[in-house]
Amino acid sequence: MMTEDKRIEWLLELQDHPEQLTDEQLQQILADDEMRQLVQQLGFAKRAFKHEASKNDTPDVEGEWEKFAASHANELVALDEEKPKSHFLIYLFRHKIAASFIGVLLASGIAFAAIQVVRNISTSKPQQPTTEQTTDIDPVTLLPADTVHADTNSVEPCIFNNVPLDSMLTAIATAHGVGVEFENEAARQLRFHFVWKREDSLSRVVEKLNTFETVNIVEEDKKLVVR
Amino acid sequence: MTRKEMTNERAQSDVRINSAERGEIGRSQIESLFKIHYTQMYHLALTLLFDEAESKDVVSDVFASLLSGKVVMRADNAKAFLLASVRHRCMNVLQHKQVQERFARLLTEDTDTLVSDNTVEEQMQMEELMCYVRENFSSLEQQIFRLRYLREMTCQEVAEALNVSRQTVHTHLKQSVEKIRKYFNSNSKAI
Repeated sequence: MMTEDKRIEWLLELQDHPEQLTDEQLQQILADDEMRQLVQQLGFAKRAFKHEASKNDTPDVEGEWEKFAASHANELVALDEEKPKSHFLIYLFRHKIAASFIGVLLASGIAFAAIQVVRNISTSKPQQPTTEQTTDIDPVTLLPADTVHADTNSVEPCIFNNVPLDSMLTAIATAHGVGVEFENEAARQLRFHFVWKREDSLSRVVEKLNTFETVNIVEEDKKLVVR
Repeated sequence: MTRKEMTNERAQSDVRINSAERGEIGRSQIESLFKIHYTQMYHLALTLLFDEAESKDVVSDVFASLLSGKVVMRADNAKAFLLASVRHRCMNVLQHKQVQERFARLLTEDTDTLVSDNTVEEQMQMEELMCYVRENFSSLEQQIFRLRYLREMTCQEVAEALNVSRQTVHTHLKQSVEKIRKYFNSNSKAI
């Protein structure tokens, strides 16, 4: 066990000559929890110093806009000339009722399709229970288009930007192979900004969601229950 | 930002977006979003990437992808969306850097639990830490920390810049790190 003192000394020495370390050696060093924590804390301190220093750094916004407008001139012109289909989506999302309706249709459609698939696969299956079924559909399709799409790498976090709890939970539950049940129907429409780290365990995600005051999720056998 | 500035900012963006009620995002909306939010987005990127050019690129890329229609944004939530997009892109940039670089420059890792996803909360945490720094670090310690980590100078370079011995630099740096450790270990500052 290394003392705190030695650890700090070692860290400072290593940072002076990072090129001497191989990737494997570094991974090993950072595998130690204490060391990794120290690096994270120092990293945060560096960010805090930078945040303070940035207050004196006012970028030339007008100048940056001119540069941006110049390098994207064609696209900006095209934007004003046509009305691409995406604008319809913006219009739709401004009208929450329409968006919710379509969301419900989508969810119902997928649930219906899932039931058909399950029926076809098994020989004799009893009636489906009322809790929402989840299958291994790609959860990204259940999200409204106003989230930032993570690209192909599944380790990247999924950002739910003001997404209703029912869509969010359905996606998360699907990924973990469990179902979702809303004992509190009002909770379905609650919207949150939440970053879902895919590598987190289900319990961890539930824990994080429960830090929102209005959210109370309980993990039961094979399903998440929203109270 | 003062409260008045925040109210103005909100009013401005509401007015501009309302003119797009028919569902069009045109040049003037993009321009408006750009001018209102650029500084905050740029500063967020700076505290993650520490490089002016890279930070400007990230902000520019966020607006470029808005332009191209690849992402659809709810207009009433522009600020949160834009900041989240900046954060997301910065994480991408960081992930592609070598482990050695991330280690030497103390760059954020994706699994870093100290990085809150809420920019406002994060800023409060950073300001709290800086309060502690101002009260507990000597000015030499602060200077050395800045030169070593913000300006990313080597210990030797720092010593030359401040006209002190390398040993002095090392000693003060170590004291700074110990104090930072102490800050996080007390009052369960770790998240």
